[in-house]
Amino acid sequence: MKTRREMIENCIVRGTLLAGATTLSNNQLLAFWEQGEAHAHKPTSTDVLGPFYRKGAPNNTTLRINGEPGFPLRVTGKVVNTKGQKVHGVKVEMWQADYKGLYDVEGNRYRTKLEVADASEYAIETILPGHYDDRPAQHIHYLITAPGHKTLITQAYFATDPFFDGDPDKNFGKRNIVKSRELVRPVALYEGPGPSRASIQFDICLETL
Amino acid sequence: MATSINADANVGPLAFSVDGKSIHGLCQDLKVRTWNVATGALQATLTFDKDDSPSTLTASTALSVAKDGTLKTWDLATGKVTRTTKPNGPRARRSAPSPTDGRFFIAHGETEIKMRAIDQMGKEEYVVPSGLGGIASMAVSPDGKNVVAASYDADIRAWNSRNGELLRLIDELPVSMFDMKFSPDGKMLAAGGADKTLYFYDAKTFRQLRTIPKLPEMISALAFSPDGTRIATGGFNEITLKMAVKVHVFDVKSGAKVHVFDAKQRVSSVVFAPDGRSLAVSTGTKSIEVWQVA
Repeated sequence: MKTRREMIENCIVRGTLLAGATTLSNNQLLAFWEQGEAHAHKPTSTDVLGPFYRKGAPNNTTLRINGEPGFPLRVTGKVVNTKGQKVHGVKVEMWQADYKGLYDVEGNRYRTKLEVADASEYAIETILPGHYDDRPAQHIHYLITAPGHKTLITQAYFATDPFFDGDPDKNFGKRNIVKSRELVRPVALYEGPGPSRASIQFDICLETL
Repeated sequence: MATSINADANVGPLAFSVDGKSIHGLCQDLKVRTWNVATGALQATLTFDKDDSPSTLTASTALSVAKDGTLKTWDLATGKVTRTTKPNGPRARRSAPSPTDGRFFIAHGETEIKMRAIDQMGKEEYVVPSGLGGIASMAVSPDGKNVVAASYDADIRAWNSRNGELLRLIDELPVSMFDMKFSPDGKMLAAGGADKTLYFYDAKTFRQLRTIPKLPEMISALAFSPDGTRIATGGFNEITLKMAVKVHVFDVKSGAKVHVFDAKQRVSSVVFAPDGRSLAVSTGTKSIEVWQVA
């Protein structure tokens, strides 16, 4: 099995990557390609951990609680490094407020610590987090660790949140709550058959140590 | 009934003067005001230099951190800077002065936090890892020998302040501790935070001694009485910081509730007067409540 570098080197040698680049040496071309590859994925922006992290959440993909109010939400994503490669041994901790904007500080409602399988993808079923006065943009907290990678603390926000007044591009910086536009994710609505739900995709890119 | 001291700005952290006749309050407009406790009269207003953010108050000093990281110690009686320390490295996000030897313990970083000790000249003595996500609270023991920091990842680290040796990583707590205080005799460390439980630790071994569980709200502020027999807690509500909450005074040994007082909203600070007879409470509003507790 050839490595990606060997494959690229072979392509260069065969001339298949040389179109329009005849003045560059093979080594220069390889260096440019590697440079481009290294920046192919920007590390996910960080955000604050917040005061309501709680240790010991279970590895649970269904956070939604039967019989509790709240609009159903599916969150999916993949975890890659800055080269776009899968990351092994990832642990994704997620926690959020319930529909009333209340964190469970004495138990593990709406908290999970996912052990992400080697496919490097994750998915949870939950609800849209409630609003609360002191941090009025709906959000889900993340703490992500993986061997050989920098720990990432961030948050996912929702483009449909009334907090953004219908224009997250313009309003994401309102009240200095959301640190980066990319953390505000588009929300897809599924209206059936079956129960309606919202979904967001929140991909995560970790920096290697 | 409480006596109220009215302020012309919202009041956060408090400290009584050494003689207990005055009380200092760090206000939201970044000034420290001093009032006469008996009359409520404003005695002094300390305005900091531009770019200085005041952080810690003691009975006679205020500490400020400038944008470039310079630490200034202010004399609250004269309103003058008595010491300026310029540490190398990143700006402090949290800082705690040693009560005994003029050193500072400062924390920086956003994801992975570091704590460093700075000598009187601003020279870094050591730097140690200090958890994830920020420092929720810090404390230095009364003899200056130990320093503790609680990070938002729910760990507490206790170090030998002299060399940064980790004495214990307290990792059995489930949530962040928003305030920590050493008892006046230095034998005990109290910590309280998001899980509405007050924890007591042996301040030598940093092993847990006991708890007072099931407070009605999360704990935002703590204070031992000067004789160490009582502890006051102030809280806040999960839904909104503006909800009315309770202030409790417990007997440290038995855990019995001695007093319960009302507070308008999230408690910023609870402090006992030096004679232990009254307790001052601030809630980020324009008044300080002073309750009789003896």
